Amino acid sequence: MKTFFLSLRSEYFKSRNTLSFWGAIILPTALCFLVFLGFYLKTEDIVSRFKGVPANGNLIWSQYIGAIMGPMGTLLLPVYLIFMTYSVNSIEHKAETWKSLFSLPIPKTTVYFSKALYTLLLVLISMVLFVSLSLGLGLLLGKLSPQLNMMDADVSKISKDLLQVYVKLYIASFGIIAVQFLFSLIWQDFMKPMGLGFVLLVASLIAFQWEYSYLSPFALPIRSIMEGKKELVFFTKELWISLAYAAGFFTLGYFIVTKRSVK
Amino acid sequence: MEKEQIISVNQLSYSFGEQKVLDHITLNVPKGSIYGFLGPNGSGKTTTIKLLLNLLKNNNTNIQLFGKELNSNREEILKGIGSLIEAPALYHHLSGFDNLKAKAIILGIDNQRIHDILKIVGLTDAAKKKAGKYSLGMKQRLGIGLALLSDPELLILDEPTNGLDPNGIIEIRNLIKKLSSEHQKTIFISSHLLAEVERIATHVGILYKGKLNFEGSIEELQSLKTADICIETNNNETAVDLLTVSHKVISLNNQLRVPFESQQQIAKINKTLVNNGFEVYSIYKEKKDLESIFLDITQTA
Repeated sequence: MKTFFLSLRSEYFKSRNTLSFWGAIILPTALCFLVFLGFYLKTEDIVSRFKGVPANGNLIWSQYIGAIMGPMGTLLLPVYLIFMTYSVNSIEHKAETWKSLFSLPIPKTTVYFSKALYTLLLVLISMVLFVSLSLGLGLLLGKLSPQLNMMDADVSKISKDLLQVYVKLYIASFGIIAVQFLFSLIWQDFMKPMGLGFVLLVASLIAFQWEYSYLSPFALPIRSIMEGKKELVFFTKELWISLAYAAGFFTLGYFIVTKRSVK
Repeated sequence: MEKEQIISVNQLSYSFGEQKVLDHITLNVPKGSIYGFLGPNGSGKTTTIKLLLNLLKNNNTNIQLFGKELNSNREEILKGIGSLIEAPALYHHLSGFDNLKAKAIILGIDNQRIHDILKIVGLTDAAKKKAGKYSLGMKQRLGIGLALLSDPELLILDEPTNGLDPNGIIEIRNLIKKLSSEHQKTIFISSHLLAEVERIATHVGILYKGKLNFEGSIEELQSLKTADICIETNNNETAVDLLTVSHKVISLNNQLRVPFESQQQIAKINKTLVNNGFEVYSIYKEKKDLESIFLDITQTA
């Protein structure tokens, strides 16, 4: 277990100055700040939509959170996941360090699972930032633009719902992460894992209305939050399917890594 | 008493699909030796090294390191090995220090050891420079530093002087000598350059087309430095037939070569040739150098 955590620490050490790590911080920060700025600068326009009636704080919160979550769930998150899983493995492909990693006196499974867990942790960091920045900047918006009446809304319920939706989104991402992690593990070049990932993502978005679209891991994040909008059921089938994909593909990767020769 | 063997490989074979890369090779690397693993490019040296490190799958139990079978003692054995395979594997976005640190974290090694290693490989001044900006020689030295980090008993270095200029080669050679004499490491070093290995190795194994054609101490290899009598006549083809009756004759580059036995033998051969109507243009004794022994060993396979 100690080796596993040391391995995980080494993963962080290697990637701390790369885009794969900073992407996890920049994406939520940039998106949340942009939406915050938009709402702050356009406060008057938003208030005017209520035509003299005091603005409904709850409604504005949901619009504000939706403005962050909408582009995130549909496109940004899957694209980010495809990119991030690629860059975590490409560090080793580029430096040709697989042979060094696998000649370390630690089990091959430790090398593999610490990398896989590190990928999941990076996405977790990103999700935690989304939740805290959405809330923090939302509260700041409420203070700076009191006419939006955001402080009058039930902030504790909003926080709870927000947290729940992001946990759903996170679990729904596991499928894409596992599939793309495997692609970028077996293919060294940039084009194959990224290209295939994008093709699958676009195909899943096109076939979104199809009744079986929930079977594609690439459609799961957006489906998970859309389902959530109707009534907040936590463990929907999207989450189960995502977990099944993660279990299947991470296990497959494990067998490939431990059984195959390192070229 | 026989010296302890650090690497002991028995009848090891390996194929990439249909292509047989190693054919029943047997290796014995004694403790404390610098073992030069020689062979032309493509002879199977890197494959052997990858098998020794368990990077390539070998389902047999014919590889032993430190007296233990590799497949069932993988991690314990790897603890005692530091390796540099092919080009050094470095994270170009990290500094020299950080490259060592990334490995040190996993192995639980402190920063002091990293500084010591940087000193041993002469990279203290370049510790903060990104590895991507290192010269080839510096990269090789950092690669050796990475191999040395855990203070392993055995160092496996695959072509560590590949692509280096003469100065770089001398630096690496001196470093290897120092590691052996001052740090008592057993060093297994592969190379395709005999002259390189001859300068540092105590033991040599010569691999050619997947077969180990020679294994022994450098003295044993040098004892093969026999001499030849080189003969040039007006008709070498017929002279071969005449001399083959009483000698082992090789015809090479318009010359006939007969293993040297004595001065009298030269006189006798000369007389035989002249008496049989041959014109002898030249006849002289030539000592074989290691290079030609290497060629003999690899080409008579």
